[in-house]
Amino acid sequence: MGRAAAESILHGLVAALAVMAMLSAGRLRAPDTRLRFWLLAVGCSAVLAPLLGLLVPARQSEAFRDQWALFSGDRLSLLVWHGISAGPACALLLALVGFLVYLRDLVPFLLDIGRGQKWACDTTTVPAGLSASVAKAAAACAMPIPRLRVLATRHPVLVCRGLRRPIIVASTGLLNILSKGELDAAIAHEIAHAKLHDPALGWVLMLVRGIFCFNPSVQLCARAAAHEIERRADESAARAASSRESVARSLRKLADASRDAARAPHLRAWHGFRLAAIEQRCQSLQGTHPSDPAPRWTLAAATVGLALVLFFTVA
Amino acid sequence: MSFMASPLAPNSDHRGRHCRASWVVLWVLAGTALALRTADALASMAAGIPRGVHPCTSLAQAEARTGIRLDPLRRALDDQHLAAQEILRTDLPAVAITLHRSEKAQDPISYFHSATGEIPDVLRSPLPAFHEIAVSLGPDRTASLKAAALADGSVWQDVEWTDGNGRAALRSRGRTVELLRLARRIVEGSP
Repeated sequence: MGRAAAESILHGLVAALAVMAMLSAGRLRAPDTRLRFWLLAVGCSAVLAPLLGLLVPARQSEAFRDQWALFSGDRLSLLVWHGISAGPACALLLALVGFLVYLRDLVPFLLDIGRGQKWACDTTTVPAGLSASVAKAAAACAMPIPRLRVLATRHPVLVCRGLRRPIIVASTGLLNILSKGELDAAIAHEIAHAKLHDPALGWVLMLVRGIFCFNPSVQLCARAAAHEIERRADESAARAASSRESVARSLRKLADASRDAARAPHLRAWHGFRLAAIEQRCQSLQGTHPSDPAPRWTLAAATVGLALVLFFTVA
Repeated sequence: MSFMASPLAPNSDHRGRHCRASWVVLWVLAGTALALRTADALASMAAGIPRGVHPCTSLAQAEARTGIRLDPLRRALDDQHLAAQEILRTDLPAVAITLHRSEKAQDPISYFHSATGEIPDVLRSPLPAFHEIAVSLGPDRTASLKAAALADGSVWQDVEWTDGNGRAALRSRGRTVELLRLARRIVEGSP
């Protein structure tokens, strides 16, 4: 069990570094492409490592380690310092880092769910302007109009929920701070999430993060994938609203409003990462347009190549 | 008509994109494999144990993993007040055991045994011998005694003999008489 966990961590690290190098060297900026590559890195840890352990147990034999393995974790275990073996010590340290990163994201996620539950009881009628925005964005994305719910709270809320039948949840606080153009852009962003079934993908990522809470690369790659999911929706919204500027403006306004809402210092610290990520998305929207997606076979070649390299990498 | 307006331009751009993507994937994967191999070699180097060599925690474990009988060595160690300090093995199968005397701060003696033939170089590094003679270890048992001088001025001695289908050897930079006494004791205990 310990060896399987260590192998998952090792495979995740190798895959994450390789994906990072491919994205950087290939100057792959399209969110779609980047998302697929980050999901590949997550899959290497979460799927490939356990599969290899189950299907090819001979990889753990000494003969395989000596003659075939590119890297064997046994080598690290031979390094002993003050009675502490480097292999298990590295694995434990990385597992601790993974768990801390998981907690770092889990706490704000649970707080958001808690606040959502509190506000969910207090709904109000849907304003006509909002319905029109949703209908317009849905038409631009060529999808049926999703359900809409408006919460009666001064806090700005705008999320897309629902695994099978998407629902857009907005709040009266949101309608008060966004102009008409910004609201259209923000709604188009959520409609893009609904069209691409992003809430389901988000839950799958959270589930994988929960199962592999000890694996730092799963945590960081899933976080990077979530960032690309948002960027993908931003790009889609920018196309639907025909204005990258209004998407960026609406993002900034919502970020500022959520920062003001988090008045307690410890909550501001939790929001720090999220705000930095939103600022990065705004800069990306205001900067150069993302390049064309990489050829599809690139991902297939990277998957086969990484699987081969990881086959010969044993913890 | 400018080049960009020519019908060839989109194709060449398309080809260039594919070519660049294939190079990136190839280089990154090759670099990853190389980095892993280097990390493995560095860890081996830092631990001082080459690839293919495995440490054992006891003589019994070495016997179990290699199938080499170490009873004669065990008896000789008891007689000579020696203890096994470090035990290494290869899949060949072969073992290398560093022996030290508990009560005196003397140079350690290394014992090597290969079950199938030559003792692998990863266990016993080759020495440039300047002197080699045949010595008797008992009735009908002869061994070769080699001496080699290293750059630091130390003189090392190897006693090597045939043991069934395999080979056994002792190496030390201590006194020759002690080395031969231990070799004789091991040979006496061998079947």
